[in-house]
Amino acid sequence: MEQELISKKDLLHEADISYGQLYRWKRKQLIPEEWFIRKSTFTGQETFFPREKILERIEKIKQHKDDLSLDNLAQLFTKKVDEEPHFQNISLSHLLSSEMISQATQDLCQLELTNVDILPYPQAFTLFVIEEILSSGSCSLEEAKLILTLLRDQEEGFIHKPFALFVTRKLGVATAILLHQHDEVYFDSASKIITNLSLDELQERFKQKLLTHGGIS
Amino acid sequence: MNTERKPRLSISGAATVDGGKYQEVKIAGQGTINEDLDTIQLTVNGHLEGLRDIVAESMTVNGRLVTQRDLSAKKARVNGLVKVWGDLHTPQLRIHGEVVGKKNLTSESIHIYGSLKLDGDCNTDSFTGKAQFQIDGLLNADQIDIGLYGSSSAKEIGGEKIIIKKGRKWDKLLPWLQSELKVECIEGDYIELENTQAKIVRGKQIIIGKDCTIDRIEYQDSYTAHTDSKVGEAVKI
Repeated sequence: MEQELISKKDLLHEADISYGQLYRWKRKQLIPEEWFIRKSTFTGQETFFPREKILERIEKIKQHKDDLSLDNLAQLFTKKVDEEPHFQNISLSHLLSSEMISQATQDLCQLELTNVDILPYPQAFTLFVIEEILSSGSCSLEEAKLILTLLRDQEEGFIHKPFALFVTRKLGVATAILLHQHDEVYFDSASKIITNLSLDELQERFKQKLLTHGGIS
Repeated sequence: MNTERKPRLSISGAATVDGGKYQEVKIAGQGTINEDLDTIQLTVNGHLEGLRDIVAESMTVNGRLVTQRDLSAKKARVNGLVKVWGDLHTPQLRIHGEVVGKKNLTSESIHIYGSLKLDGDCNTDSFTGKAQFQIDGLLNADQIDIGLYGSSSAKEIGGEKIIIKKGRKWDKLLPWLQSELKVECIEGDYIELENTQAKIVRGKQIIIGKDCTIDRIEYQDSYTAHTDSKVGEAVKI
């Protein structure tokens, strides 16, 4: 898929940021190295960016930069959760007490969680997804269990790659689907899409809550 | 591996040791460390060769330190020579001698009264001093304020405030010393240059001082150039 590019000059102008900010954000790894695309133009080398991604990212940086430090922001965007000490060993009781997850979610997922308080990141995030689904009220408990099974099976994949979670219902039977966020997907007209969640966005929210509430032991 | 820190490792004479965790490591003679070393304080007065990673809270090198892998020191002072084949991570770095890095250097504050040679990128909040440097990648810093002594180069320089001037101190003493900076591209919000050769300079406010050769300048707010300098074209964006 050919993505639309924006030159550095246009980006500074359009997003209203300075060279200093852009270089600082690059240095703090808020903007991934691979988004800096070099091309030769008639005035020499110029840097281009994938337009949509960079504008969206800068919007988010601007949004959060008053309440989170640049280092925290970098943690928010990182895909390398396993290298980030803030996201290791998340305490279940803390998630409950800071109301990041509810009792209902814990009960639903309880099967394997008896007497364990410290959760690895993927498990904790799975709880957060279930919480989101239950609190949205769109799925029944049975359907949430279906989603839970799917997420547990695919735990490694959806943490590191941008996935979207779809739940469809046809003739009263629900199906949960995980697919790459930017892929297109079509359903037959009898299927009703009851949930469409971007796990990437949800992960950002989850990390932000972890960073602001603690929840880390 | 034992996680307790041993109090002290001291080498005077010549010795090869395994590594490990220490409170204090002092090298007076010649030492080789075969495994990872993790210490609060590292002092090298002689010659230390590390075959694996070295981690220190605070490091002073008066002699030579060569390491085959990564070096990380929160506070580092180099009076002699440090040569690192891996990445160099030194939040507070003062160079009074020479630092050679084969990969990237990440820091918060770099102060140089000597020389820095890097094959990769240099990322830091501030980069100041009187220096001779050669950075084959990008020099990325919020604040750059350098007096040039000897010939320096970088592939690219980017940041907020970039001030490059000719070091004046040795003008009369060493008149043959060519102090100049060669760089492909400089981008910043405030840029002040002397003795610089660049293909392109982009910024908000650009002041070109003496003895510069710049092919193209793109500025947003203001631009001035000394009559001794050659500027191919200057365009307001």
